[in-house]
Amino acid sequence: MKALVHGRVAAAIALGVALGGCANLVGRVTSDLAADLSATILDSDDPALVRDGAPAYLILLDALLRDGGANADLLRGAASLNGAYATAFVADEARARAFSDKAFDFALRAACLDIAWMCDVRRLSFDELERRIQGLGTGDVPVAYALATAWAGWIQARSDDYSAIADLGRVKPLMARVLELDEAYDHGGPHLYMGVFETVIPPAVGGRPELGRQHFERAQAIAGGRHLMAKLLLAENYARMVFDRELHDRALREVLAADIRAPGLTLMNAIAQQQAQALLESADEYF
Amino acid sequence: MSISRLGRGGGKHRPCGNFVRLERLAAVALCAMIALAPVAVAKTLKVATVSPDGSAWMKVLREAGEEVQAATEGRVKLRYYPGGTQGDDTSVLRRMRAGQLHGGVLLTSAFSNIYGDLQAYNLPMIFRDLAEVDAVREKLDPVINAGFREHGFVSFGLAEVGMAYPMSTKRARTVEEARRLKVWIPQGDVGSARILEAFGIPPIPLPISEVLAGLQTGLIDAVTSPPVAALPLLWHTRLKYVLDLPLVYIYGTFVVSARSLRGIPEDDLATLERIMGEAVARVDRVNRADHDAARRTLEEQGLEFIALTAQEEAEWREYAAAAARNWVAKDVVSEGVYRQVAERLADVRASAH
Repeated sequence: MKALVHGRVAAAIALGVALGGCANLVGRVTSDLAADLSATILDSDDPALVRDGAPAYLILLDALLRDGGANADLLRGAASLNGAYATAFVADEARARAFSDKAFDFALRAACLDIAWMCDVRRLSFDELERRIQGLGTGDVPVAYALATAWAGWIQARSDDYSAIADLGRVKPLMARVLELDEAYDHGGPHLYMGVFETVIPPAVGGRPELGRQHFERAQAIAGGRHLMAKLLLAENYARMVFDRELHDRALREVLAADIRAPGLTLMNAIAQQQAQALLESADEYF
Repeated sequence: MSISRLGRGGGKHRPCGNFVRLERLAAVALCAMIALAPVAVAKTLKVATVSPDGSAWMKVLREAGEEVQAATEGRVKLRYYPGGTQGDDTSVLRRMRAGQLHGGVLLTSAFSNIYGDLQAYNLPMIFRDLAEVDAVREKLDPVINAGFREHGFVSFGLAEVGMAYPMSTKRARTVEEARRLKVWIPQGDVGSARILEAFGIPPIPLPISEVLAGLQTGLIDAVTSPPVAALPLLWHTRLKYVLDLPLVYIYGTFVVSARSLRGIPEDDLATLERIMGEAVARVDRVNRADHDAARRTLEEQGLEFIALTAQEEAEWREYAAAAARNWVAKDVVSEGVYRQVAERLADVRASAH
């Protein structure tokens, strides 16, 4: 009996050592795998396949990052996939919050590895934060963008939590700086997010949705008209807010008629088409 | 469409047809009676608010709307226009008068020229804390709500937004120091102007959308705002200080024009008022929790809450009391209602000692 226990311990230690020795290799391979998988997923034209298939990969990423993984690229990949998956496929609010928590945690860990002050990005005074943000350069765009998008998703999943709402005051200037440095990053993604930020508050209580419209249109222009999510958000966030049914229906019909295939945008475009149909169907109820 | 298709009695089925053919007198008489009874027409109440869709307010109101529709078997429906799509509070009231809308969820300031007593709780610094608010509202809300009817409205109740605090980019404790600040008020807001006037503070009117930039450039350096408004508008990113002095209690109401309820059977009307009354009460409670959470968040975000000495606070209270007397003298709030509020407060304060 005693020998058996010893044997198991020895085997466990051996396995542990073996895994430890492989860590670097695993890290490199998984980084590449994460990048390849992200690209494949984003180019998929079958949302149902991604919805059913991606969870296994998300669990694998969790496992790889379980013990405080220190690979910034892998962390960012995991953040982006968790966030995107939740936004696209998770309707249950509690689960969406859990996904966004994980995505934000990964993104924050990644940012902290690459840019030291970002470890404190949630605690810095607003003046200090602004100074730091202004100090970011073009090379920092991937880090800052990944953090800002995961953070925005985290806030979105907590729209009735005031401490999350307060964080919008940190995310917005961060995304604005990314936009300033590289507005075309991620097919105009910075404009997409700024568009959403500007269409949160109705004009009657201080919002400036016209700025939102300009951002959505600029994202569309950058992507050569292939960014259907930008057009969808123009309808859903802007046209509904300013009560412009004509623009709403026109934009959605254009989304439905468009070819979804575009490198890096296909999956998002397919999801945009699904949502466009639902929005058109509920238009009579809304307007 | 304010009045949709006929409810009961409309459509293709004509159950009385067969009876008539039977030539049974009783049946004919019964059908005649049904025909003569007022046909219950489905009524859709169109209600606008600046609250964004998806907000706590809207979630509760939508649920309540569905409940009303189910309880009245579709005879009364509510249709909401959230997110300020029908304009600000003043525009909503105008559209209600024109009959384009039937109701609105509005702040009290919208009624400053229509129903002064609605602003009884808006008197500067009348409440020292939210416990006093609760004690007064318990007694006076029914009086205030009932008063709406004289002005052609039916209110489903009042709902709290919270206490507005002076918040600034520069440190100020005394009335004298506050007078040196450039304090924003919403453009065209008579009530806010009146509050600042009470303390001799010159206001700077600006559209609300220009406040954040104004704080950044120094065009203004103070606002008076409830915490729940300051955070979503991101004012907390520019403000540094909060004077821990609840300057004015902010609240709203859900009203419909009395005219829009005409033709709704009494039972349905009672159902509508009960369900909507409960919904507004629920929002009132949720908003209290939000107010407390938002205040805590302001502290966590690093804003400094300035506590006043008893002497400093007394000076602010002196100006506020003079203003209250002035409001009553000018009949902004009627003497009768003001006295009821003051008496209730005196009772509460006496029992607290």
